[in-house]
Formats: sequence, structure tokens, C-alpha cells
Amino acid sequence: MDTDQNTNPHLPPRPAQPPVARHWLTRVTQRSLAKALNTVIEPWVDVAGDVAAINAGQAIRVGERFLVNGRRYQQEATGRLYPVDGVGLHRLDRGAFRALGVYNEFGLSERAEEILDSRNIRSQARHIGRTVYLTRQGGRP
Amino acid sequence: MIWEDVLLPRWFEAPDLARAFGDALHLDPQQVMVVDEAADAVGRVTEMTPLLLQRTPVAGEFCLHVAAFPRQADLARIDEWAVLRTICSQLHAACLIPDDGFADSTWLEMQADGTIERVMLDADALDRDEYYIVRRKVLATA
Repeated sequence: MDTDQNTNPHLPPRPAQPPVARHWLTRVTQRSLAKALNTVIEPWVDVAGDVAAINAGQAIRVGERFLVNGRRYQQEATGRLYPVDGVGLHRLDRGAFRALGVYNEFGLSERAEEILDSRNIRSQARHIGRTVYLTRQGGRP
Repeated sequence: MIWEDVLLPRWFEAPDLARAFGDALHLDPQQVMVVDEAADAVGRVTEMTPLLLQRTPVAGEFCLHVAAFPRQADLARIDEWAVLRTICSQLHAACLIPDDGFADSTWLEMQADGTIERVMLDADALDRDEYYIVRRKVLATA
């Protein structure tokens, strides 16, 4: 029997798997399905490292939530993690997520703005989408 | 609104979607523009287009993603569950919609008769943008 499994309260109840692709900031497109709230991950974040740390019991576990390297993840019954908040994570409402998808595909261009106009995406959502889009080029803060 | 991103179990022609969403939102189908490419709407939507829909084929049990872009604020004031019920009823199809939580695999499915089920999707398939239900639990009957 694995002693560590029995004694380390920070081990996940089941092996943790990385978040699904929709959470990667650079993978969001203008066709991506948006939820009311969506958390995306900046490209520099070492998600594989976070997952490995969680599986090694090196994260701080509270229930189904894990804090590791300044980021919080929650584990689903399937074993999959989803990002919650923290360094390099952004929580976007549907409008900002949709704006990000358009910027990812069309850049900060007139075409992008025309498409956002046609979709009636508000200026505040565009601003957030642009800000998050720009982090893909900025690297780790 | 819950009807802004809807997955459907089969492909629907543009007039059928325009009619279903139009009925649900008290719009004439002519006021609903359906496009397959984002650029197709540019320069074509006007003040007379309160609703834009974009169709995207996806893989899995639910093969059509309809993204709805409301262009009039008053559409948000219509009961969103009633809107979804009418869409399902008009299309004679179940609709899969994201729930309001952050979890990726828990969704809601509304049947054509208005029954709502909480469903769990295959997480590995979701990673490939494919949508398959692996478990369901009835939340509310019609």
C-alpha cells in the first residue's frame, strides 16, 4: 500500500488531468463555444508542471480545489482540472471571450472590429478581449 | 443568455433556424440573419437585423453549434428558458447548452418536449471539441 497516498492530504482523490483545450488562450477562435463565464490560460503558464505538482501532492488541496504556483484549479469527477483563477489566468464573460476569439483569428485589425460590430460586442468586452489577446505576446510578467 | 450558444443533434437549414429563433424571440424570420462565416455578416447586418446566428459544424453526438448574437437589448428581457423551449419545440430537437458553472463536463440538455436534464459529457472528447453525453439526470419535466 502506498503510504504517501494515505498520509498526504493534498493528493488528489483521483489522478488529475490537464484542463481541456478550450481554456488555452491561444486556442480560442471566433467559433469557440462560449459559456457565461470562461477562464483562459496565458501561453507561458506551465500547466503540465502544475498538474504534475498536483498529482505529486505538492499543491494545497481544499476539497476539490488545488492551489499551485499562484493558480487555483478545481477537479471534476472525471479527473479533469479546470482553471479557476490566479497568475496567468483570466476569467472572461461571454462577450470578452467572443472578442478574444475574433482577435485571435483576425488580429487587432479593422476586419476584427467589423466582425465585432456585426456581433454587437460591447466596447468594454472588446477592451478586455484585446487586453487578454495582447498577453499572448507579452510572456511571463 | 442561455440560448446564445446552443448545440443541436443535426444540421439545420438557415430558414429553419431563422424561423425557430424568430418565433422564440418574437421576430420575423426575415429579421434573423444566418451565416456560416463571420465575414459574411460584415456590411450586411443593419438596424433591421436584431439577431445574427452563426452555424458551425462540430464533431460528436451534437454536430451543429449555433452561436446567437443578439443586436437589440430588449431580446435579453424575454424569458430565456421560454426562448430555449420554443427553439427546441420548433426544431423538434434536443438542445445542449452550457450550464452556469465553471466545470467543463456538466451541461444541460433540453428535450423537444421541454424536459431539462443535467448531463455529463465525455471529457476526453471535449478536449477534441467533440460533444458526447455519458450520463444524464432529469432536473425538470415539461
